[in-house]
Amino acid sequence: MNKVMGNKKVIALFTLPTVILFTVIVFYPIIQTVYRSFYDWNGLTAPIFNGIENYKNLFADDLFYESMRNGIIFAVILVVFQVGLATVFTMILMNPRIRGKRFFRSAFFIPAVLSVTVVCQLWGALYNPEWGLFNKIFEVLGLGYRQSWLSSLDFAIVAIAFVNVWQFVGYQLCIIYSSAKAIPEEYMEAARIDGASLWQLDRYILIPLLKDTYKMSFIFAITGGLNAFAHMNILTKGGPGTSTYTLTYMTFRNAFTVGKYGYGCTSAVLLVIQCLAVTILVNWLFRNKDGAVFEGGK
Amino acid sequence: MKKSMKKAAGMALTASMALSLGLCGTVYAEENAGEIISDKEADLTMMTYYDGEEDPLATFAYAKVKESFPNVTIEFESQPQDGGQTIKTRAATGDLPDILQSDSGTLGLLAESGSILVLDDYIEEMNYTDKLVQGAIQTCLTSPDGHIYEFPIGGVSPILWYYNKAIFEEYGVKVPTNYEELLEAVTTFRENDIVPLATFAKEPWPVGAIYDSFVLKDDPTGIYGLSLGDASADDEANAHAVEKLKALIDAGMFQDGCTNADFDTASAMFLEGQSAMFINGSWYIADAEPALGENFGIFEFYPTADAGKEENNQYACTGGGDTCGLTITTSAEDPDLCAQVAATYAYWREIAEYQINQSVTVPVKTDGFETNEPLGAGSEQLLEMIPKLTYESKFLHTLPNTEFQTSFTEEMQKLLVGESTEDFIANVNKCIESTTK
Repeated sequence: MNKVMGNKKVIALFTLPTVILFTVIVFYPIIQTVYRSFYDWNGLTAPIFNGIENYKNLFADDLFYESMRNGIIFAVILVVFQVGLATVFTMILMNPRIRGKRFFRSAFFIPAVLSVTVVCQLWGALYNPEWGLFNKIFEVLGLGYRQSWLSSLDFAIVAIAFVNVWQFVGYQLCIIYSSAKAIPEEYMEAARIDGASLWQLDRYILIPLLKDTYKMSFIFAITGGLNAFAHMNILTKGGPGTSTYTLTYMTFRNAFTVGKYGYGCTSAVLLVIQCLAVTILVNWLFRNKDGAVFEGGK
Repeated sequence: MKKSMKKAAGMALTASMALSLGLCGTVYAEENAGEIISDKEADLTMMTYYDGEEDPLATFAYAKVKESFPNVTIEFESQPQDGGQTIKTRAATGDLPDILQSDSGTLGLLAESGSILVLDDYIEEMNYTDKLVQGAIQTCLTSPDGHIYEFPIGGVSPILWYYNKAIFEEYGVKVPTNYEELLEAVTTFRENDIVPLATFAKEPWPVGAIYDSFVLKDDPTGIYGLSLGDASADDEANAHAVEKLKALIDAGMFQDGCTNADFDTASAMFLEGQSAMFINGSWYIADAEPALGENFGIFEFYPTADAGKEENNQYACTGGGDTCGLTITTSAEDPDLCAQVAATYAYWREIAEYQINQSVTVPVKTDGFETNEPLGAGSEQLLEMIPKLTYESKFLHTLPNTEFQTSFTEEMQKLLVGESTEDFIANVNKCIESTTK
């Protein structure tokens, strides 16, 4: 077996199908997108090469900056609330005195397996300004604070981001909690013997040892925020106006609604660059300076 | 290069088909109702709005097709109301059905790309225009490039303002005939927790209809004029319209969350008495009149002119005719058969629209046909109004300038939820400048 695995030709042979598949499914479309971004093309008639004109137009387009701003707001909310809540839930579930852990784990994860359409229908009803749950709660409490949650130019993007937080907090919890469970119990035990409180256990043992897990969670949350699309497409169609546009939605609008496919490719290229940059940045921030990181119980 | 080849091939194919038609003669089922026209076996695909196996109009038309083409089966696909996104994407990937319903929002692009056939010769051979009313021939048949690409579906349909008589009577509100009275009515309804006008501004065309209702009083070209760059948002007519609309929005004319409401939600509010008024096409009479009965009312003209100027473009209407209908795609294996089937289907579907839905704006002549039920008061009123109505604007979703229609929808949504008139005017002007240069 070792002889086989030491043969580079054999390794290449076995990985070739995956490499080909990955190239066809991922790299070829990306290259096509970059290529098409230099064309004035409506997707149907003959494309006309226009150099960097699309990029110049994009950087002069107010919608581009609004979409970027919304993507960043979305990403920040996911990082703070999705990863944050998943961390809090992990700390609670790691507490040996908590009962019914299996129930809570399942309950938190249920929204993640629901389709986005179902979740959006549910939250669309909750956010309804006339008879939605949130406004009714304010009404019952005698508070005059009623909101058109999804029809506010400033608040709609936040409202949609929280739908995503609710749906996928269980997914983040799954990642963080499973890593936390893999931390050897001796570390915790030793700390407890030394008199560490619950908070100190979490602060100085649990969270530092989950550094690599957080790297992955942050990348998922940030890139998920930057390229968010499905929730706003169902809940608001990007509206009111353009107030819930992200770069993905802008790409969709330009390519398929307006029929400027080449221009749509341009914003798609910028989105890919953004996500790559974020991934590199997070990797750099979470780099192992001292090598003292727990690696999944090895 | 490939696209121009495709277009040339499409034209050549059309020409050859026309030649073969000339030799064979072409008929469709109206003139040979009940007779077998062709016993060819074919499985065709057809994509239309609203239709499907459950739709009574489609069922009726398909039965007529089966009478004359017994070995033809049609697999229906329902076309999403998504501004043509699905059609354009499927055209780009060569995945169009044999017969496709299209309107001027997508027709020009499909024709330019060679995705649909020119039907000039088919229409001529079939004498299809003999079956169409004059208004449809003038406004629903020929595209701006001078060719015919569709067998018309949907005639010259005006956008109308509807109201619930019972609500107006209950709160002692006069049915408005001008802007000042409309503002007063809106204020009274709001004071009594009634939504003055429910709308579904999540969709593009209703916001265009709302805007047009105001601007047409001073500029009958409305949003069509804006989309061509012939008018600007800060000219006198448009600026005045925006000012009036903004005052009504601030007075609470529309329901909370209207930019997020779909047709079903808004229509339910009107039909269930939560909203006093509603804006929709004339086709809505078939839904609303049975539901509201004697309380169903139609404004004779838009109540949006300044007091004392009611006669300014009094019957100028938004909506109207459009080159909407069944097209034959170049991917169809048997274009002759598809054209015959499409002509038969389109004709009988519109007859069914008249007979079942009592629609008096169908593009086909209805002489010799009776509606299943006697015409309701709403349809009778519309029949009286039709000769007076004028159309120089268009439905927002059928404007050929698709970028303008998208941007205008976005700006209108912002205005509806609180954007200032200054920002709205500036942004619409920016949009006109960037899309008409």
